[in-house]
Amino acid sequence: MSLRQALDDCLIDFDRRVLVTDLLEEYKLTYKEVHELLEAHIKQQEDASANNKYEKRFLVYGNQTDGGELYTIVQGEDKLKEWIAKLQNSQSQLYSVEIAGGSKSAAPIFKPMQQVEVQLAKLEKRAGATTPKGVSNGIHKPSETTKPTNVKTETSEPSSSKVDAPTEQPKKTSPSEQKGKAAVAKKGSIGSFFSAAPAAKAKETKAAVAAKPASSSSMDNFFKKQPTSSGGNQAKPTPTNNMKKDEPSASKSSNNNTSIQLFDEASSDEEEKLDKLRRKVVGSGDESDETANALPTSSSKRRRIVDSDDDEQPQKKSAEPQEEKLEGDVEMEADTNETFLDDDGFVITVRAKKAMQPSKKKASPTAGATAAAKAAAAAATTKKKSPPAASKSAKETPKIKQGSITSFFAKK
Amino acid sequence: MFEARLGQATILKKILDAIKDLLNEGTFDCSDSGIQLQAMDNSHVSLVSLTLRSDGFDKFRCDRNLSMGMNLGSMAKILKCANNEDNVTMKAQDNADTVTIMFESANQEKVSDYEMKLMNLDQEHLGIPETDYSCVVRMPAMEFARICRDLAQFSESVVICCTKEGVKFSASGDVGTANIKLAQTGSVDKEEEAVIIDMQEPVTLTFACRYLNAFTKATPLSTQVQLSMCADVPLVVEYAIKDLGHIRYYLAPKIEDNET
Repeated sequence: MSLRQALDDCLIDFDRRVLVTDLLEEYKLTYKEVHELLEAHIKQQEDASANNKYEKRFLVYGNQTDGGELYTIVQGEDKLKEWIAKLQNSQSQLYSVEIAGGSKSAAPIFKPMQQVEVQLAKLEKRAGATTPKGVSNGIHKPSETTKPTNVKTETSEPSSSKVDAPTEQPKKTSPSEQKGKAAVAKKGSIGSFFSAAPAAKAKETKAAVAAKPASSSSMDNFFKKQPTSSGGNQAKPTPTNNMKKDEPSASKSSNNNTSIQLFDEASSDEEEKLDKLRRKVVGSGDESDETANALPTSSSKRRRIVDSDDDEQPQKKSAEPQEEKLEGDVEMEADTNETFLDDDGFVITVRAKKAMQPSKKKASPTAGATAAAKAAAAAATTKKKSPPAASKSAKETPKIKQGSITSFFAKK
Repeated sequence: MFEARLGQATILKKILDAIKDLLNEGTFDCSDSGIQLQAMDNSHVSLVSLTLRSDGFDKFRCDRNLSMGMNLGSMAKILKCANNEDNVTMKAQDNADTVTIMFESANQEKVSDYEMKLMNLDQEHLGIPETDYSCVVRMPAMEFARICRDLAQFSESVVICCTKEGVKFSASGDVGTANIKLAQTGSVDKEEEAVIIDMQEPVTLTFACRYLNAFTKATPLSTQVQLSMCADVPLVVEYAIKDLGHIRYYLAPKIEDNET
């Protein structure tokens, strides 16, 4: 397509600054041709309507009075004349054109053509079809291509989904993308092999575990599934865990992921089966629902996460105390075992044990005393355990030192 | 002019092997009485003293006292070029900066000579006082080498305890403890297998295994080794070189650190 045709068809958006260099590159024309066509088009447009005003920028080159060469871009023909008068041996060329007033802000600096092209390619990949056409001219602010908008479009999806757990965002983005990342990382470091292997294993075990409840629909299996599958899930998000080095937070997030993933992965058929089982377990569903509603919880989702953690107690003792600390007084109120369905149809069991553990954490005086005694005893045993050889050698090494021959024989 | 000729190159080879692990360089002091070398190891824990008497050589001529600083590794390399039965002759001019080592086969058909650059070594010579040692143990050199090798597996240090019953070598480490007792032999057919203890008073001293094992490189030189000990005095490990002289190693004992 020729430049003239493009101008006639209004394919060039003069709302944004149109660089002559862009046009040179795009239409493979000489400067003279582009200049003439542009001038003709601008004149035609300005003649057609008095409202159409175009703002031109000129590239000015000349020698300064102190002898130095100068390249500058000036706005408008008035300033161009001033600069031409200032400089010796000055030359000027049309640099850019845009509609006067209301146009987008100018590019801050002159950008070489190739660089702009590279940026455009990246931009188009990210923004896709929504990229405004004006960008193709290569005139854009860096702020227009900010990543947060991209991220927002991605994260907006999960928020609309049914399970909107706070930890879902990393989880949602992880499975496909992080696999890809892991594949990339595999090429680079040996560490990726170690992190990838357990994930694969976990997948296998998870598949095996998932097959079990389908074949046998006993309640035991259902209850077993939670810890096992969560165990599998625990291993699965290793990429995220790798990314987060901070142990407590990582373990916490993985805990959250486990509870979410359990229900995310169950197919609709499986969910129905599970629901049936739940109802059997609970007995009368209405009552339990009422109790669930009666409980003063900030969110049922949070309770669910905690509950799933409870099931994992034998496996993860380290993660547990922190969770419970966060839960605070709300959980302390529950003293007896309660099993009920919450609004979303999840089985929630609040155990008396839960109340016991914080008390462990807080350490009543007697418990503290016994714990201290135990610790002292343990310390004593460990002291006893320390190998006598080591203590001997420890005694020996500081006692004996190697003498020097010069201390025995005098120099001649 | 200095010239010393030995009937068998193997002796010189063994001497070099006995000292080159402990010393990188050494100065051979040549005089009309023979050749002497004294040098400390780099850590100044042990001292090597080599004496080769002039009458032990087939031919010995030293017009002026001469000190020849040599890189012992280089010399050992040259000596490896000799056959064991070759005659070896060392020659050096007065104030020369090189020494010539010549090997002649027994039938004189092959003669090879090597010239080695000498070094100016600024090494300290220590005065070794005459000492009456409380315990002098003579034992088979092979046995001593074996004991040192075995005990080095247990600890870095060996305790040598000499009493009238015998001599005990002990080592204690993480693995456990090891004790090797050698009693004085009553009567033996072969003199080189005898363990003879000459004790004035019991002595117990601790030494570094590493050095003892380095000393045992001289085992091929002699069938017997003599250990001379006295409280708070360096151990002397002496290997006699038959008809030629001796090599003595002095090793500072490990002492109690009063500071800790």
